[in-house]
Amino acid sequence: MNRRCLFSAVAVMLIWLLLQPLAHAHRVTIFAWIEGQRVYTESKFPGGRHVIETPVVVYDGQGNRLLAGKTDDTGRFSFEIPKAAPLDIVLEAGQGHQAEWQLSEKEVRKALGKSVGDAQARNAGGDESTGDMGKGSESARRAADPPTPADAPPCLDAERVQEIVEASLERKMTPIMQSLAALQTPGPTLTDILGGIGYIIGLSGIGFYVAARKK
Amino acid sequence: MTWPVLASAAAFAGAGTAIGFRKLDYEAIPKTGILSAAFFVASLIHVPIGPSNVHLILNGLLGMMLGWAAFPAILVALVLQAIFFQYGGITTLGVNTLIMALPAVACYYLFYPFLRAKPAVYLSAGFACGAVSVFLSGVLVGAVLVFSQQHFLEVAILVVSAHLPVMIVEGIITLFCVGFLKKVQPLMLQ
Repeated sequence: MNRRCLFSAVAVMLIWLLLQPLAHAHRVTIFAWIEGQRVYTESKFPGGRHVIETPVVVYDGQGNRLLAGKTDDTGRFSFEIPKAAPLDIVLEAGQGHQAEWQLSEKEVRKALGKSVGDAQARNAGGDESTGDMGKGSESARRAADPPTPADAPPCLDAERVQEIVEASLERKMTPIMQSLAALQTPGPTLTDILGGIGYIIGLSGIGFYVAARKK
Repeated sequence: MTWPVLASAAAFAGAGTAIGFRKLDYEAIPKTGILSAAFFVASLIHVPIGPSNVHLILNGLLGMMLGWAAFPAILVALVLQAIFFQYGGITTLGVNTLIMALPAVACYYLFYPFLRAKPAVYLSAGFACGAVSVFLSGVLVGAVLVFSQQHFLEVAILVVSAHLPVMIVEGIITLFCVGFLKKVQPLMLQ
């Protein structure tokens, strides 16, 4: 009876463990986002330390190596979008530490497709990066205003508006994306570590129990 | 990593753990628990060396003191790390256990006999135990990555060279542990 209880407890625990999401060897993280025609990446160790001077390799969806580079001393690495394909960005931090970030083909194509209008909006609104949301989109709107009335459409068409909004949003989102990247790497806290030690002591206790029953 | 690699590594790790549990007698339980905790904490403390972050593995010390019981000790610590911090991960648990515990057991057989010798000999055996176990772990990482379709030599050299500073530090730590235990509590090493 007792043994059956133990077995079912172990089975439940095993099932629960199997349901955990797949994780890769060790915990470095890479975080990538697209801005204009470039892909920006940021890599961190647990606790937020930058991964510096470390190879980053970019593959397309079929596993072909597209380009490689190294992170700088703030853990960043950026590159022009090499082609319109899903991008697998892999950070190889050695000692079995590896991290991966995928950009879907949709994201990449979108970035390539609208990059011209985006660049214009960026040039116009570039200096006002400290402005608030309303101001930023206003400057983007100003950028969209035709310099000469002759070659311009009479009013903004839907597509253009969308482009402008997206460009401005992207610029505003970048800091948020960065802080998200920072959030992604919580280092182990003292509580976690002490908890782990507690578990091990508990398991030793179970070991004693089992050993004592055997005797 | 491919499923056959993961599965066969898990099978080997399971076998090692079974042997470890069989050898684990009443007296060895607290020792195993303490070393499991030491392993758990050591691999959480990341020390920046050069461009990369490294952490201690301590598998040489575990092998020296526990023999086959290093398997369950390492497995337990890795399970807890995987659950608490998502380090390593559940599917790679077998591979990771094997990578760290197999060298531990190998070093136990390689260096344990020297512990009965003179201080100069057992201290160097302690150093070698710490360093060699990390080295073997590096080789195993390389070997596992080969099965996952990467260039062996390239990867192996990269991995082993990344382990070099750790090897030296581990060697020194294991040396001091062995020296200390020999003086204070020689029974712990039996």
